[in-house]
Amino acid sequence: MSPPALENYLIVGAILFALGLVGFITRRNMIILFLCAEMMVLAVAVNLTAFARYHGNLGGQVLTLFILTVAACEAAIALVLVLMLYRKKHTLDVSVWQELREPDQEPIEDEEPLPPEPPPPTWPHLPPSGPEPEHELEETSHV
Amino acid sequence: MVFAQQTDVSRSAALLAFWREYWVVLLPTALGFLVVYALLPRVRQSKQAWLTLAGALALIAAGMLLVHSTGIWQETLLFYSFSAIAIVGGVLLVTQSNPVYAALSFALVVLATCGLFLLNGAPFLSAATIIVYAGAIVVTFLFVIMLSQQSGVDNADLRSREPLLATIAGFVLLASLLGVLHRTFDQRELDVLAQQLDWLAQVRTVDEINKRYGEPEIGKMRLPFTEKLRKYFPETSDEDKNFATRLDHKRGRPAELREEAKKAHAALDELRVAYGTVAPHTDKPPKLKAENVAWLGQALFTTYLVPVELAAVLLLVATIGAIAIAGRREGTLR
Amino acid sequence: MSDPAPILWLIPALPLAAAIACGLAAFAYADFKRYSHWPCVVGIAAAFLFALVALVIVFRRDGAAAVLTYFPWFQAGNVDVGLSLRADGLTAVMLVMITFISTLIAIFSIGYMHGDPGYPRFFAEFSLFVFFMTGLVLANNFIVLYACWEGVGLCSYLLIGFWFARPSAAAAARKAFLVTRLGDIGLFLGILVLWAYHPERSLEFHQIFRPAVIQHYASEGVLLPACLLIFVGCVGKSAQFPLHVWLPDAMEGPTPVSALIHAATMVTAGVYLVARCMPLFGQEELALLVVASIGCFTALLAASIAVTQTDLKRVLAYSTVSQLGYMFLALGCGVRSERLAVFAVTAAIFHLFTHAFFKALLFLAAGSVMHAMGDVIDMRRFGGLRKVLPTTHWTFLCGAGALSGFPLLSGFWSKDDILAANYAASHGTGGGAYMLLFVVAMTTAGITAFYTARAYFMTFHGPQRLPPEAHGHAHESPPVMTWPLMILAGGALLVGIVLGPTGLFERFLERYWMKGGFPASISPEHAGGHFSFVVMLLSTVLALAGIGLAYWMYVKAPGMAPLLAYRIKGLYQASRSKFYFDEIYGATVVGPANAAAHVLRVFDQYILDGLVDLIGSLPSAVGYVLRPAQNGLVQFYALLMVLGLSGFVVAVLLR
Repeated sequence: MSPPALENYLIVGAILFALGLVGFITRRNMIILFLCAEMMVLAVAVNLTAFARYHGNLGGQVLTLFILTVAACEAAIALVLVLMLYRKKHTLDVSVWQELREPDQEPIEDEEPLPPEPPPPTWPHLPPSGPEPEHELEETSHV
Repeated sequence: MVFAQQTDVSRSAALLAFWREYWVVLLPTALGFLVVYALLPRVRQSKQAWLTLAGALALIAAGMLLVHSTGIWQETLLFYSFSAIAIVGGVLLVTQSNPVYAALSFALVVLATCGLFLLNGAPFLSAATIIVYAGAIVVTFLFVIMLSQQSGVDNADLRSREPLLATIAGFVLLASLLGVLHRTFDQRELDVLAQQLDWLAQVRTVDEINKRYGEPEIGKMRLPFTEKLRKYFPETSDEDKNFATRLDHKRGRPAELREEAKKAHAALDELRVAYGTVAPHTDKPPKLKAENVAWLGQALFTTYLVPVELAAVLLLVATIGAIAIAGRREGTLR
Repeated sequence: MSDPAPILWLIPALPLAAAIACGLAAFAYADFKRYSHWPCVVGIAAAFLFALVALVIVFRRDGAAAVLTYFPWFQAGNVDVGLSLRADGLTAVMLVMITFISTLIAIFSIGYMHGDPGYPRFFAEFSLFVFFMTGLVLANNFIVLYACWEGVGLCSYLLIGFWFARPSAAAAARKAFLVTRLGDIGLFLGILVLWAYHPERSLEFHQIFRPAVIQHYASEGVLLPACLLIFVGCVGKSAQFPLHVWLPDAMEGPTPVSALIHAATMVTAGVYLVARCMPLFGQEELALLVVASIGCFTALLAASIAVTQTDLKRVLAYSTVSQLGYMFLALGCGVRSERLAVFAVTAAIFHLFTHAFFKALLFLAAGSVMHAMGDVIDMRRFGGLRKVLPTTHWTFLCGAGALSGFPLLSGFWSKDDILAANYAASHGTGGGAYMLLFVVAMTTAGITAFYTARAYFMTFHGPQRLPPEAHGHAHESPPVMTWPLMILAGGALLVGIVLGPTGLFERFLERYWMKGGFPASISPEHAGGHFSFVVMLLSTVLALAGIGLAYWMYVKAPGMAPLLAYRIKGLYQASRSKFYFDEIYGATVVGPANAAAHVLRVFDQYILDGLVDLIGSLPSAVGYVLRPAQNGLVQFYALLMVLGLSGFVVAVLLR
């Protein structure tokens, strides 16, 4: 029996890590930013459990446990900080925070205009529900 | 010198050799790069359906080319499905504009990853991860999103910061990681060589040799596979280590050829072990204990006691810190 | 007493200490500044006493020079220079003269510079000058000599530009320094030549002036160039043609400065140097001819300019240039025989000695006149001062008489010796040139008498006129100023007759200097006075004729002078404008130098500075290029980190 293929799990870990990295750099919502960072941690955890299996000892799993713990603390603190930042500018956009730029650099604004809002859908006007309103008994053909 | 080739020919030939060696890595990575780059949130979004198809294609290509199958079909099937779900979930997390969808896809990633944990013999970890990550963290984040961004999709969610450069950076890193893994773990050549050496270790007559490898002619005395062998065992001044040369010399004498083949096989095995598979190649690879939780608990409270205590302190400090920072308001504590 | 030669160092050291003390006094309270002349006068007077002691030492050593090396100054490879001093006859004579006259002039300055805000600075610079000058004559090697040479140049600059706030004074100081610098280059080159070809690479006088060494120089063919280069230095320092232009402008300094530096001591350093290097010059007839010719020509040139000058100090300045020319003429007449060489050199030194007395006297008297006239020195603006300033008048008369060569006064004896030497040199082969020089020298003697008497008559005779700056109360100078005048007048009258015809001076020099310092080819047999009655008679006639002509033109018939000037207008104008030397130099030397300086300034300012600024702005430019990376976006920073990481990883993997 051939030994279990360690490299497969490492490949999965690498792909998840790279995806998390791309997301971390690209996304502008602070929460999503943080979730991508968590995904990177998760990829590392995958790697660690794979190594634990191939060594046959629990060191990798213990370390994964600790990483989990630290990730939880990190999530808590990060949330608090996100809340603080949200309170100042009332948006979760991380790009509004540009105070650390060089004094002679212009702030980076969004240039591309949003696509125009689709017109609100016109719903057909329905009469209000309820008993049939009073109407004159006139030329209504009941045929 | 991981990727460097041993040839010293012209640059185009070197480039060609590079491509021939690593196309299994570069092709899926390139496809994935294109898919992710196109899918990243943008004000004018491209056609999603085609991209999804291309993404599936990239995933399948990666699965086929990169993954080495093991003997057990159940494990392979489970592995493929869990990892496919995890990767799809990851792509969704990165490329979805709606933050709620993205958070939910993260939960999906967590679930799939826990499946992978189970496959690796870590049931406690998988449960713990689901509870902490998918249960606590994702839910909390969802709450935050829903409370602070009640319009759903914000202006910021529709744009991405430097999509091209970020994708290039990430996928170049990915390509280098996968390339290293491929180079390290790609033992197909080694397997083929081992197979040849195994056959040679049991050869009886010269006729068999000639039948398999062709009649020896003037100028073509060497066995065909010794070229590849030379790649792994380059010529040295130590005569005993020049396996390829010795095999070639002993072509006409089966008895000595058997001896040489056995020696070469042993050396190859050692090389295989040293090549990156860190676990020693013995008949009985070490296994994890089945009672995972018990043994994990024992390890935590004996060998790793101090880190556990420190982690506990860390949790406490984080809690206090979170309350302290969050409690700070202008005015009274509300 | 035991060998008292080690006290030689005190002679320069005491004025140096005085200079430091006066310099420190400049920072004292205003009350104490009044007394800042005391260190100077005491120091120089003490130096004079020690100079007399040095004279005694020279007597006792009977011709052997006392050479003392105090400490090694610097040693670098082949060059080994020590601070060595030398005392022989020439040194003793020069020292006595320098310190004596410096003391008298210092005493005069107490009165002259009274009330000047830079009073302590004056005496500090004065003492410093005396230090350098005594060092110069005491030097035993060329490097010490050169150092003191430059030192006196420096002090001359400081003292000419004493009233530095006056632009004309500052310009004159610069001019003096730069023109003498040109000469100093020649001197330094000469020293280098002498050093380079010396068998032992020594620069000490007693090593260089040995017959074997001089033969070596002559065989290498460097003796004439070395002599001429050294003479270039003398031309600069002693204001000979063509570098004479600085001395008249140097009259911008205070009059005691003019008296000391530009009459008695500094300008005579050139004469001293040629006399000291006589063993070298004496072997080269051409060098001697050059020296004599330039001296003679300068004498004529300066005399012809002095005839038309109206500024009393200018007249005296040109007179100094002229008399220095006479000294060089004398030095250059040491040809044909050893006796003549001895006689000629001693004549030159004798004239230097007497000239110091009467020229210093004349300058101090002029200073006294200026002091009384409220700093007016233009002779056309005052006249008939003999009743107003009696002491000044009589002392000036003594000096003027000595200068013009009036019989039996000191100038007569020394100038006569020079003319006699010249006449003797003109005999024999190759003497034609010297005959020409003799004729010119005689003519110049007559002109000298004329302009001296002219100055005297214009100042002290005629109707009494006082300029308005005198504020109506022109009076005789205080005793602190008149006593030095009287002492110097006594010297001007008596020094000549005491030392000249008796042969005391000549014998002294011959015995106590030339025996030890001259090569054996010039055997110092007793030369005796070269009395030539013809020459003496001729010079007396010329002197009296000149004085008489001046008397007639400026006392008897005052209208004669302007009429004559009108008749020979071109010549008069040329003489009046110093023969346009300043304008010629300005156009040929100063103008191009200014233009070159301008070009170089532009080059330095725009190209060199521009280059440096360019290099300096490189980091700034690099920063400008890199700064957009700091745009404040955290994700951007993370991106850059990841880009760097992936680049690094790929680079490592692909090696």
